[in-house]
Amino acid sequence: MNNVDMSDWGLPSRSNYPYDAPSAIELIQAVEECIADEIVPTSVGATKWKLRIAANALKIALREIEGRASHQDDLRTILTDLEAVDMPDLSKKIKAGDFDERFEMLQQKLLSIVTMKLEIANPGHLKPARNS
Amino acid sequence: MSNDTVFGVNWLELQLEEIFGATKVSNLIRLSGGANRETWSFNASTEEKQHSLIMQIDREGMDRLNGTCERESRILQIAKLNGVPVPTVVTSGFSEDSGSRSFSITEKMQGETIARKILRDTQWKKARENLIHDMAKALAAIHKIDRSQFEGIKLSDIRDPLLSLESIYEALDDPHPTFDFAFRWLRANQPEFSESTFVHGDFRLGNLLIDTSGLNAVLDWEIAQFGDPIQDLGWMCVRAWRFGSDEQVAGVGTYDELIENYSQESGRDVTKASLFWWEIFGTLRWGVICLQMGGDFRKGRTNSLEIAAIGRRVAENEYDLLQAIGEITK
Repeated sequence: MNNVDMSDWGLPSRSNYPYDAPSAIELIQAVEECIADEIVPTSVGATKWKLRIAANALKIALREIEGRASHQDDLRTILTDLEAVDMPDLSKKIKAGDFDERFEMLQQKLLSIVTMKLEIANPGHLKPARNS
Repeated sequence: MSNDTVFGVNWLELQLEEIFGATKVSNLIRLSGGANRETWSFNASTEEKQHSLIMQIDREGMDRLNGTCERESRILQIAKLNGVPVPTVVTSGFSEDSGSRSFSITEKMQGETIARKILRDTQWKKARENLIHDMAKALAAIHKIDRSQFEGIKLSDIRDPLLSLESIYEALDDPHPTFDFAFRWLRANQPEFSESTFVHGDFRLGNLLIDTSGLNAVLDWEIAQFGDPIQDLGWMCVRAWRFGSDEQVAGVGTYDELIENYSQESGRDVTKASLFWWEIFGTLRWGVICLQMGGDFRKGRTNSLEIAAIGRRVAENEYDLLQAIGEITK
């Protein structure tokens, strides 16, 4: 018998069987943090700039993996409301003038879709600009 | 690209020998920024003088951009003759070894191009105060150049900018309902076409060299063309070109200040409605360009991460379009 207290040695539960941890999400997260926290501060010039873009791209990928399922559900609801099969179909209907009499409603629905896209691509952009 | 490839030190020395005589090139450094071309800075020493120079080259593998650096150097020379602040061109041409990529070499001018620094750092405070006036004055000078001076230079002459942008969007064949919404709004609200002048096409922070007192040089003329002059004004109001600042015009001033300064310098009447229309057009244009650039990555024309990432900026423009149009139609 060991003389150490092993009561907190238990590992977090996980669901990515048959693989081991870290999961895909955790790996991307680790790489992102390594780039942003360790490599960027010691880099200069074009390399630093590229590394920032790389770290940001990984953050987008992470948010997409985590948010995708719920966004896809929401998108289906919005498309159903607009009587469109998918995004290309919605494009076609807008072009054909199907929404010309319901422009404000369309604008609101499109804003909901684009908000989902920005929650993944760049949540920091989600505030109105000052135009008047 | 390493320093000893076709565009390396030896190649540069050869190009400059014709202009300066025997030249020694040193300090060749790749500068960041610029998605469509590579930009390098270097020193060139002759027996008499040391020159600080900039070399630009069309980006490799991007056929649609070929020739833009050479063409730009000819435009720079015309702009300079017409009182627009621009760098002096040393030489330009096409590289023999590398297909039809063109290059230009210009003098290096003092100043900053990075928008976020110009908009935030205290050392640029005075520059920020003068910028609306300086930009309006430069634009007025650009729009005044007589088109006959560009004879022999291939420049687009865009009479229906919306149709021209729509044809690019349709050719990309990647439907974005918000873009269709914006095209429809823009078509329904299009101001009457007033006149066609020479326009810069990409006039905004990032493409302007700013010194501590204001605008020092107008750079990046690769999409200069003929068209409605107000498009150059609307373009710098696009939210992307405010770079996070709350100010409406280029992140430094208000619509009213821009209209007043530009009208005074150009003698041209500008309405707020037409400025808005061109801002919204510009937002859509930047959105379509983001889609196109992201597409260059998807089609394997470039493996550049920065260009891949631009594909995800489409959504920012969609948001800005919906917000701006929503506000106007309220």
